[in-house]
Amino acid sequence: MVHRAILSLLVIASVAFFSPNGHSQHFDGLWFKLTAKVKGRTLEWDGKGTDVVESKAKGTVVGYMYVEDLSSLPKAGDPPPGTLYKGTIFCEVDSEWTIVDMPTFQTIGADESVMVGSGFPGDIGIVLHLALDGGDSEEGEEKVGGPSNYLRFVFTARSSFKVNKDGDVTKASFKSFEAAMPFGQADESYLIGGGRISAKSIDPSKLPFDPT
Amino acid sequence: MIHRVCLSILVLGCMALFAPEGRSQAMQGLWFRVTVKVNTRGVLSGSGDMDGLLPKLVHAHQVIYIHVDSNSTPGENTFLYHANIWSRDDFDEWTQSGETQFTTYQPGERLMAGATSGASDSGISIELPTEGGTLRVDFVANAKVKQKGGTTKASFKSIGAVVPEGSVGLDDVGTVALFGGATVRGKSVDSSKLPFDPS
Repeated sequence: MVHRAILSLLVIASVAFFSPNGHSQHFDGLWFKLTAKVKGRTLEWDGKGTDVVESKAKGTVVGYMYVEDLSSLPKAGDPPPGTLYKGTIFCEVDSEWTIVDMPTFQTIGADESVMVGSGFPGDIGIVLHLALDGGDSEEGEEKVGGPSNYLRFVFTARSSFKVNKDGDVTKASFKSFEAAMPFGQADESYLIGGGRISAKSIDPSKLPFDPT
Repeated sequence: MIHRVCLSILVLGCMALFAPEGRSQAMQGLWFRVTVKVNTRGVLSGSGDMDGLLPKLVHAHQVIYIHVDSNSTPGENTFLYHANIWSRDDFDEWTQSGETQFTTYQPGERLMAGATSGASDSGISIELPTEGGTLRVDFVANAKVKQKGGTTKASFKSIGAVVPEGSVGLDDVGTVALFGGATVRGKSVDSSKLPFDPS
């Protein structure tokens, strides 16, 4: 038999089957607390390209995300096969909770067990940004569209839910398989690396800000 | 004080010193032997109630070759490289299967990131053939470049890598979508050591 390309896959266990697809739009209307643990490298330079310093870096970034179901929207082109959502991400910048990103994603699998990119152009994997404290702006200018100090993540994730007898989601969480951080900026430093993103649903009354 | 969103950066080691400007753009023309190890979860899709996450990790390992064939200097501190990807096809023949671009930060070219190195960047993207599908890996990497006596040696290792999409055909279950993480390592090789003739 022809030796085929190339990826030698080893599925360790036999395939198990899964819970029936009895619920959908589990994420709709939920608030999540996001925690990103990052590990990578920073680059700092003096603007002349001659005094660059590379350092190891690691840390934790926190944000909050509100999720809305977008599956009722009319779709153009090839619609994603899963349930489509939009997130609204809040981070604290200069002591104010600010919307810093509105990523889209979809869930696939029975019981929405996997979160992947929306399938729209440029969204291969879930792409989201979290702000670092103290975003800057030019003197005399207001910050528009979020802070300039941020980290960019690309990931996919596994999600899980607890559902009551009425079919309502009482708890939800997700955790990235892995996350790449292809770009970040903190004042005069660039940051790249990887990490993990995890999230747990929270009651909106526990938010540290008033989203209304 | 209000609890702030924070990134507590720990500088773990001493500052690294970089090579002088004369060593720049050292990756031009190099061949890399690249090992990609992926650590993914498989998802069955398209079979209704049977859809879902496979219970165990799906591991994969593949060797490809990358040839860096051109470069430019789009930014004051960056070099942009173009590279061709060679992998084995269904008939076990080495073929040029794709291309990619990446940026290195100078001086020293210690870090490798995606082509745009900015807000729209997903990292260095490579696509690998699988049996019955393809697998995409996006990554950023630490790099080392050594030049001695007119010879350049280089290597890199990912510091962040993700499999944002992929698929493989498995005999007993059909097409499985793959998502997860990866490790990507590359080491320069002399073109005479390639397992194929690229000409």
